[in-house]
Amino acid sequence: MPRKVAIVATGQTKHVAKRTDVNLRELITEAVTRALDDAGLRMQDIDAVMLGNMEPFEGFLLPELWSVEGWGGLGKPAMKFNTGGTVGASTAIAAYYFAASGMYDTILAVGFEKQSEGHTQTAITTVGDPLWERTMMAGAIGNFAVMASTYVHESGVTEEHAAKIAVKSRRNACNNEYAHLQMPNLTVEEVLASPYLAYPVRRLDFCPQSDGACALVLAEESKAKKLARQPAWIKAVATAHDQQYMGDSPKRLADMRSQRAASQRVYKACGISDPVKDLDVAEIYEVATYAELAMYENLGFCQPGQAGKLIDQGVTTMDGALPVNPSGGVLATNCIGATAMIRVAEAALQIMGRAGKRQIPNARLALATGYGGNAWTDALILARE
Amino acid sequence: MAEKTGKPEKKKDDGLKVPWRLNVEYEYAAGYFATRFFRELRDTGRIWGVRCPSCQRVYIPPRPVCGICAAKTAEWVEVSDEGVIVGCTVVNVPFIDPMTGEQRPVPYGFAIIRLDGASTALYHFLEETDPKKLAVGKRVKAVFRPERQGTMLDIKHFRLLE
Amino acid sequence: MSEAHWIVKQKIDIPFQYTPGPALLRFLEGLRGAQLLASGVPGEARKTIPPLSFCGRAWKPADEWTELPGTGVLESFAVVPRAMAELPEAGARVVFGLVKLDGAETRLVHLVRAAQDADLRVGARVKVLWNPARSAAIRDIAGFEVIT
Repeated sequence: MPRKVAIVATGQTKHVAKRTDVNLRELITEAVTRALDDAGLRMQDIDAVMLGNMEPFEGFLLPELWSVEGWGGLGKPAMKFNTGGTVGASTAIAAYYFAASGMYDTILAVGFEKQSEGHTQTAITTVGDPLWERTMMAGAIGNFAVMASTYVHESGVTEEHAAKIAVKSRRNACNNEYAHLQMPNLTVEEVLASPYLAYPVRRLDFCPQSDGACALVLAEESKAKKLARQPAWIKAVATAHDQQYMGDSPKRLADMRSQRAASQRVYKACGISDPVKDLDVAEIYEVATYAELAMYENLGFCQPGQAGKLIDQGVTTMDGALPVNPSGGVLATNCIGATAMIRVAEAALQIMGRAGKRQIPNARLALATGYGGNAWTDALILARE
Repeated sequence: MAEKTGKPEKKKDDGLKVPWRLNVEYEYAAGYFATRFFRELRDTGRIWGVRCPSCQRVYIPPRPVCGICAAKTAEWVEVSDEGVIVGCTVVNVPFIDPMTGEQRPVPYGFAIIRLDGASTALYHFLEETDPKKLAVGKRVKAVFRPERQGTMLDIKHFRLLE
Repeated sequence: MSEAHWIVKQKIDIPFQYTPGPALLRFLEGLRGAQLLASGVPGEARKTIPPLSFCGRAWKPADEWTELPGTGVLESFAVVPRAMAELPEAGARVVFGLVKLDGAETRLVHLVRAAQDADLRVGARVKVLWNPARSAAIRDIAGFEVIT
């Protein structure tokens, strides 16, 4: 039997487009220090460290070596993960495994990325198979645009639906002191007036590139109860994968097989039959507005073709039945190696009742997801009990 | 591997930054399936996939194993040079092409295209760059280059059929 | 390329912008002024060069600065018959060494010069050589010369 494990503390940097005042190592230290302070721990109290980052973005190979004094790894057991967009959640899940297995009691998980140092779309293009896809690929923007066109065709969602998601995220982000894009006055009209990056995806339909880091402290049951008044218990975790090439899954965004598989697995483990009713809040990895709409369907928030209705009815806004991304989500902040961990951290803050102005009252059950590579999904359920 | 480090430079409002380039050369082994696919494309201008004996999916790119059935593929199946758009876009955002180190010319159209006879779809360029003229479900045909070298670019792009 | 198994040549070419951060920036500016600056936690003996802004061992800011005298010990070296094409010394015979500067706990990797090969030995004393033209870069140091 796995041991009970909870997230007891979080730390984030203020995410921005460029942190020219610090290098990568110093950026990491900020988030780690905040998480340790939040837990009331010293670095000596940490048994092991899990790190997540996507190397081509800064151009460092093995940045964990170069940055070791920044994350407290000297002489400690540590592992580094690199799983694309999911990496932050994969790193949190790895930390969970180590604590649940009984291997370590108190674990630090860290995700980080300094996007301003490289060329994100260029680096992501190297994800494509050099023989088949790299020649045509245009980073994440091109991939999501192609997938969005399929999804629009299948689901009937409109540009206005997408624009409403963009507005929801950037307005929610105003309640999050760490969020990058905070746009309190953004309107649907402004989103629809922003230029196409790649049809049908407009500039305001897509996430920004951010510099930022996020850290979590995870602990087994007895330590967790001491370290946090209300720990965020990890009830279930899952990772799922799809086939390798972009054209392998016939409908891609409209039919995200890895999202369906991972979410169904964690729902089943927690006895969740109706996510909108059973979950109190969700922090999902939506790189583009159309991706969030598609995820509503694929995470079981609505029936196929009903995602537009969900946002029209305000089901996923702050006062809806299932608020999605009170933090502003990826559409407000994307520092890739940290991004999926920020989903987990924000879900944990909601469960701990410490999400400040973005707190969903009485949040007891939360979903966090990561999405990346070509089609890889991580899912976690956090709970008060 | 060439790592070219430039002189540190101070940009306005931007602190000090050190520019450098990562420029690495690779030799990818195409493997048996891709070698056969690209040789056929080069020598005959024909497009071949492989069929899974279990689920009967015809895969392009061809591959040794069907990931869904975990079954070995072996039967080669010729597919058409015409197909249907599954997803499409016109890229306007400028970005550096990692294969050249230079900015890729924009705008350009590209799509996921399911060729007739194939179960999976393929990334390729579209001749059309006006998004209003593109749509999921429209039919397209491959336009081959006169000189073929055994790469995906032996197909110049796909052209919309009336 | 064999016809049976194709090998496809490609390259990945990506530009980057690296931010040194405040401690390395101060170090680089020090080089411009022919100074070797190390940092450490106030009151602690451990000094690092290139400097860290934060000591991972003490888990404290390392914001006490020390100028090092520019002498040290050669702890290891390698003789390279032909320097790789990307270096300014392309094709020439060069010696790289790991130098522990007096007053520092960490080591710098740089070029090493000696009047004769026999002088190159682990434990040899070295001193810094400065380039006359300096631009706040690691090449402001021309190398380290073995003192005989």
